Amino acid sequence: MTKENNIFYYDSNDRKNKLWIEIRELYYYRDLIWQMTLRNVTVRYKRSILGVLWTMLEPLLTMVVMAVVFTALLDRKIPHFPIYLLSGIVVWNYFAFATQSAMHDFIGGEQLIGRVYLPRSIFVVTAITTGLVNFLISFAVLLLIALATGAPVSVYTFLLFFPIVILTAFNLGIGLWLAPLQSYFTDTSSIYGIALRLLIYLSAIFYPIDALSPILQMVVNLNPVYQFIHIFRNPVYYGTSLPLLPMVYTTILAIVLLISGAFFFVRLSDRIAEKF
Amino acid sequence: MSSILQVTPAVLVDNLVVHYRRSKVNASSIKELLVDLFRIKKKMLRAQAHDGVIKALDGVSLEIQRGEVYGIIGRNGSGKSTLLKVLSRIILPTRGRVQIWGRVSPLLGVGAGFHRELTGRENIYLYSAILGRSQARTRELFDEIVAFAELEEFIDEPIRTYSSGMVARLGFAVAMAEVPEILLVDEVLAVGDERFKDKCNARFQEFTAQGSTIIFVSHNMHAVQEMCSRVSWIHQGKLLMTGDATTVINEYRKFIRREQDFVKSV
Repeated sequence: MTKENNIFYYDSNDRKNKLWIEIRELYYYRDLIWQMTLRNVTVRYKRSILGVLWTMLEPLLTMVVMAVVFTALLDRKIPHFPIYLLSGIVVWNYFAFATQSAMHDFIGGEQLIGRVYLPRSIFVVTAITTGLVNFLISFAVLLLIALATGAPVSVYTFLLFFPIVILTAFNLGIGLWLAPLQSYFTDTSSIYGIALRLLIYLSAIFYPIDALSPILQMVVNLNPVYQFIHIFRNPVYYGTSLPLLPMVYTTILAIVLLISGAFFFVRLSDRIAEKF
Repeated sequence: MSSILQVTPAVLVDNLVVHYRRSKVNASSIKELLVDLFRIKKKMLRAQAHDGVIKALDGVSLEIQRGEVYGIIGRNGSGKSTLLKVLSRIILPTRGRVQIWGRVSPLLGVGAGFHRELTGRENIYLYSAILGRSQARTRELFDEIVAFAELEEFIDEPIRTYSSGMVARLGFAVAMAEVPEILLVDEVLAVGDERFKDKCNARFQEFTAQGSTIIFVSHNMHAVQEMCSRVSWIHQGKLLMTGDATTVINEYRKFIRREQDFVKSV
């Protein structure tokens, strides 16, 4: 799609710069990204009495329940255990929810894509942005709890803007890989679900990492989701600045995943079209 | 300089071929794929791929001029809808080339993307965005849309409370709120209500008066003859005839009559 003298021009043979076209079309439909995100966030609570208030209330209550239950169950003499736990869960939920809904929304979107033209990646993008909005709400609630319970929250918390961007890119990259895969192989979401279940235990959410054997510690350290959790815990839980090495590691991974995922996606989305 | 405007047509379709693949050909689970990889030789794969192809369009060429009201006729399953889907970029050509100068507004699948739980107001913004319209533009058009759909009283109710006629009216009102550059219309409006149909037809007249290109697909020969200057007749994926509306429609009618006679004689 190029503009000539202010006329939109479409040429079906122009498939060389598919990635560029996809990005342009996403920009053209940017208001739809916002509309769909808004719909995804609010529609769940449409019929309830408290309405949109639930978007705040739900994570708050969930976190309170978890903090109470897990502190009673597994107090390992970690100071401020609820904050340790919740910071892990909030990051984990963003990652798991966003990547899984990237897959499901893409499949759910096939129906719409068969009836009107839309850039196909829009369903992946809005799954991630929806996850991001929910994450930001949960994260704000977490900060409130942390401040209320006297955890050593530091000013470095503002620096978390950067890891949030990196985590979003990371999730988008994974979503772009998963969505077309799921469209070809319906088994993908089952396999991914099991992989997530394994991964959550390797993310040091419920326990401190030094409770593990040295070999397991190495495995957990290689897990990028753990590294994200660790980065978030630094200013919120330990009261320190962002750790350099995990930042470099996750940034490189996110960039590689995002670029490879984007190419993989546009390459396969042509063939997905044939299914209609 | 408006040279491009005068020189280029609105739509150029060159030797368009569209094949659908039967979905069975694609291995749908990883297990099946693995089994396929180990068992099937290349020859078999090729044979299978051949079986699974449906030729929806087979070498269609068209040139539609800017500002023209162009009709496409043919029986069910002739490939008309496939052509519209290619023109609206829902599917890509298997071979051949499609060039379009201008943004296409499809009036097919109207209301696709409506959400039952959202109000009429929210759905106007959502559906407008699906059609590629900006939020600011929708805000400007909002009152007109509501008035056209005649839904002033219900606009803040969730559309699950609407009748199907009301939902359809809302969809058309959003889709036709702006004068489109190129409008694709599939079949005559399925909106029931005669009065609303008349309103939509009046709107089409406005579009043509303001220079929109309209591509009109229909079984209703009266409507096609009334609206279109030129018509193409597609039969079994091939272009049989292109010409002025009266000529093509007469030939098409003769063909249909002959076919019916044939069926009767058998």
